[in-house]
Amino acid sequence: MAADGLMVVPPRTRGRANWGEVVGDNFADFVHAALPGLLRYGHALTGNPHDAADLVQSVLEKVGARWTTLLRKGFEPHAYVRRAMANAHISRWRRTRRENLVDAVPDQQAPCQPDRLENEPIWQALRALPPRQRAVVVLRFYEGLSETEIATTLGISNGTVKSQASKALATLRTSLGPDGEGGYPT
Amino acid sequence: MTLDEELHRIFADERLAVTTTGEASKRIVAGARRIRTRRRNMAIGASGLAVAGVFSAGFCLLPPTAPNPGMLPQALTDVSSTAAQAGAPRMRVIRADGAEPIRWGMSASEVLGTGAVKPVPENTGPCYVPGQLTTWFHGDSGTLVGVNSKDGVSYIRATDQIRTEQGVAPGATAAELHTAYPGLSDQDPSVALTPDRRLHFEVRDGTVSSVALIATSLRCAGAGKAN
Repeated sequence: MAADGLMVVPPRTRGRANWGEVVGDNFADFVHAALPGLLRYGHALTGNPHDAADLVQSVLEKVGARWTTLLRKGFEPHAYVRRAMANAHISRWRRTRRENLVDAVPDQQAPCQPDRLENEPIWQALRALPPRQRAVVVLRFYEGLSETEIATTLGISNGTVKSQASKALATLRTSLGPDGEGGYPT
Repeated sequence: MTLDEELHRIFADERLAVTTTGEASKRIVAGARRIRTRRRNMAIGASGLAVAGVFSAGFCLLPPTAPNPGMLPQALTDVSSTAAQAGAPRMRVIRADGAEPIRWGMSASEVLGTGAVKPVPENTGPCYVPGQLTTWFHGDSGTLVGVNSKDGVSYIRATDQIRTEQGVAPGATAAELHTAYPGLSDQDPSVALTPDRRLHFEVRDGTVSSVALIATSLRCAGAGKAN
């Protein structure tokens, strides 16, 4: 924590987000600065903008309710929120949702905002992945985390990260080629 | 293009961005404040119930669109446990076909089977249908479910952890309610979702205190009064 009470978030050198941001220890400032990035990340995790907004809102509100405590314990807010979002998404899916593995059909379209990525085959294939496999793919290819970092984020072993990633990529290759679009080399 | 390259491409796509209402940040901060207040009150209160996994009340972050009562249901139920009903599913979004896990038209045994509610002692409730027996169930978050002997679930109400498809939830202001549902009457703040069921909002002191899905055939006393 800097002397003036501001928390400096070191820039990330890997992955999609470069958080060379300075955020105050004020929760509102953090939300204002982080919200667009968190919504993108949530969209990648959940597969649709409605669920992304839901996930971001519910996690941020809970984090905000414990903001002072978290800061006092030295948690880095961005990493903490992203970790919480990944785990909340997996938990929610496990307990309540049945994945539609056949089609992303219009009846799953968010009432609040349509998904502009609907027509991308890779996006459809990602949405069809089980939630933990998708989370591993997102953390690796969107966040740029290492295998160990992914394991720590999700509270699983390195071996499980490896196997989940392997299964996910195999499924994506099968879904998208050689007969589908893409024809991805192995 | 390799699969790795394709994945990097899609995750860099500008279409991944999600636009929000201008008030999104404020609503999140307000929601956090509500949770903090609620937890503090729970710690002080004498109810004896410990609530874990409190969810947001208030407003959808995204710009609202017109309601679509014909939309097929999505299972958006969350299952945060409470001391009273550990592991029981929770209602989340209330639509014309109910609020998961409670579906419109479910029988009493199906309602009990969800684990979300228990029978109301002495079976008292705010509404009835002439000629039918109505059985009442209650659960967390002020949940009240009425099951008619002929039509099944005909009344679903909650005072917390529920929201409409337009994003209105208990805790929303009257102004937010009227923004989401233009033309809503102050005297009878109800929206007809289908010819036989309506969404009714109870508003107290300028704040939405409950949201209910009510069959138009029900005769209700006070709030939620049917025409």
